[in-house]
Amino acid sequence: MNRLFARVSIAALIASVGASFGSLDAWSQSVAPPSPPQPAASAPIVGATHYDGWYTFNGNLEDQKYSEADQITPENVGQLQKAWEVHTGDVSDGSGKIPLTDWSATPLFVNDTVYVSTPFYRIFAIEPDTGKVKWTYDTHAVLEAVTQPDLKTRGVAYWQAASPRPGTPCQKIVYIGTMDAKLHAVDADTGKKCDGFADGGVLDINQWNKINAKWPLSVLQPPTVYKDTLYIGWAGKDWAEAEDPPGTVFAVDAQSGKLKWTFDALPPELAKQTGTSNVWASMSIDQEHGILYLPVSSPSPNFYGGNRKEDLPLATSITALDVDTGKVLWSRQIVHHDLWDYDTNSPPVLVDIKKDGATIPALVQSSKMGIFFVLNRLTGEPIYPIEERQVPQSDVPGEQSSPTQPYAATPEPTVPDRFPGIFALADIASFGECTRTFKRLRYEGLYTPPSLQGTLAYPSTAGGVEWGGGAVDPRSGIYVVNSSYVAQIYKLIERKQYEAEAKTGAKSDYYPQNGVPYGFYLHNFINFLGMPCWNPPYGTLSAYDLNTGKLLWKKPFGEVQQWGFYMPKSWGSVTIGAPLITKSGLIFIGASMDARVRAIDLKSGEEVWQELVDAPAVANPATYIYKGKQYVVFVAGGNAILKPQASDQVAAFALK
Amino acid sequence: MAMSGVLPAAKPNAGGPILLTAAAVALAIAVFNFFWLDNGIHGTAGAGLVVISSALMAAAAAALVVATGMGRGLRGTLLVLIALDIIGTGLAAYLLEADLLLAAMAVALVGWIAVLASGRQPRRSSDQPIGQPGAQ
Repeated sequence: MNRLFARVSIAALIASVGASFGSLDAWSQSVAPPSPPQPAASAPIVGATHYDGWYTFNGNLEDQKYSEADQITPENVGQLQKAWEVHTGDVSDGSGKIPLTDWSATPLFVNDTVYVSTPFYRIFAIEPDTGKVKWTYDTHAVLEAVTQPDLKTRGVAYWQAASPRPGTPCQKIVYIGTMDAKLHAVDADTGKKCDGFADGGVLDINQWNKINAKWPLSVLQPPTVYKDTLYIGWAGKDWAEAEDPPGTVFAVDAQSGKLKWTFDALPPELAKQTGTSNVWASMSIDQEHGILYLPVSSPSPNFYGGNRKEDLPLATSITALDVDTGKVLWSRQIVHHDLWDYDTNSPPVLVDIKKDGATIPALVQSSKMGIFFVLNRLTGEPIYPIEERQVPQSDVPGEQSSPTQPYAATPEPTVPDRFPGIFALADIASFGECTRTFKRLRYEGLYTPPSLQGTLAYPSTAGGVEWGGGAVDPRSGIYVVNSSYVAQIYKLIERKQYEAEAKTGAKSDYYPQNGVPYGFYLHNFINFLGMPCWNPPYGTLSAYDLNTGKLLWKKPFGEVQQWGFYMPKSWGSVTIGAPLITKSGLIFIGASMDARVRAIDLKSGEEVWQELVDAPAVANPATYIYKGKQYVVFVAGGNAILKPQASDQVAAFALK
Repeated sequence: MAMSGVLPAAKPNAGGPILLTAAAVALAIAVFNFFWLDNGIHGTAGAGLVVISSALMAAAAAALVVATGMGRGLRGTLLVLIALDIIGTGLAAYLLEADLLLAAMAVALVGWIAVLASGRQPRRSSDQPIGQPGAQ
């Protein structure tokens, strides 16, 4: 599950789950023996490699965020200008009755239309060359933050029949999910609801929310669509309860909404005593082999695992399922008995890499820890070594932390696994507050567990790599990813003391974890002025050669902005959202706190273009070619994690 | 006194008008930046701060230009404050990435130096006290 909380200028959090506890063997090995399924019998309805469009959240089903569009090049990108923009009107700064909006919707380009959802849960269908709105669809969803602190959406999904019959409605369907998990199916040409889908065009995912149903599910990440099936994950309300709804993934028929199969990462006999291990980030699909890859988050509660010491091998994992049956093909846990909310939070990226003269079907999984797990996607076995490292142990009564954690040194983790040191400027400005706080905390490197005295978590649940994940050029195997460097303070507080402290403390710092002996305190490691207490950079953009595992370049990315002042570029910015790569050797990305969208030269990592937009463009961008012209489109909606700036802008750029 | 020749009496040269013009232009830019939506800094505390600092600079520069008869102490104080204002506004403009405002501060600095330099020129008449009306 995903939840965003803090509103501090520099960093913040996100949330979800995490853990599993069991034998060391189970921790260090793939769960099931590899047994690749047979290739799919027919081509997908929405092809994963139609590179002139942007058919899915990640551009294609392999989640590569790659486009073969090559009209815009490093040489001419300076001539980019705004081709059109749309203001949807669906924005809230949270000052009134409607909660703040966090808009992270990737626009789709398909069916000669740009489709985008808004945080008020409406769909906009837009002409791709003019920005004229063709139609809108309103779910009339209740605009309340029932699970997340803010209204948010990550976009829509698209399906079309293998041979659409002209004049017949709902041969092409756009889907939008809501905060209360109503999935609406809408005719892609007209914007009219598809009555044949579920109950009058609306599928209520919460009809299946029956175990530990303390809060409703939220469908914020658009479903993954493959052939005639929608694969649906969900987000929930983190950090409040120990016993949460189990993280079921639902496979439903794209036209009727009928349930085909479900998948649960938690064993049924343990579902009531813990929860989540859900899939709230984007899934990917190997179409040739018919495999669905799930980034599975961690179990509840997030920062204490005394109630879930049993073996939960599918929690905080990458899990491969048969697309047709939901049967587990293999799974690899990336955090054992998660106590840090280190969800598997980003799309598994599929790409074939060349290593030692062989072509290997690979999967790259980025993580909140900044570690990259590069696996053979048919077997789950590591392509670059994964070792089990001894890690610091919990001293909290009732807890039993894992003695080891998986660690991959290649490719080089994007976040150093040691705290970068106290930031002298922040320390001096706060008269030594940073140093004094640091001395009080427990810190023994990555995976220092939460403690009663307070633990420094670096990287923290805010990442590392966030939900956007990376992009890859499948021709060269170059993988590009943005990352954040955020230190936070984790502290478990005994229940009685927690109740007293939480009453007087800042609401955004305290999370009850009802059902276990400890509440939780989480705070960004900042001084009283709001300055981060750790040395910059705070965010980077990196490129790796997956064929060798080598880091090609790594640069601070974006700029921190406070009171309008931009901090030095060498500091970089905390980032949310992801890049895309084009065939011409460009990276397009928003993601930064400074509300700029940028083009980066893939070879050098140098910025070659930038433009200001109305708010931080935390959504993944999209690019497409329409009537011979390439467009790059950004949603600039903002996210409270970066700064309190929201907008309703969709902006498309093209060459003059 | 010791300040003569360093913090000079009013002497007509282009420095004062340059400083005043630069400050006025800076004020206009700062106000524009504060209200213009598409610049990344509109409505921010930083953008507001340079509105105030530019306004103060313009007022001080106007005083220098208009009130030629002010005492050396006051004039010297004004020049020091203007210098601090130029540095502070310039730094703020740099951090706001407000290039035009930064350019205006560069021009203001030229004007300020010219004002300062005007005080180092030889007096036209040795019997006219520095800083007295009619001394120029």
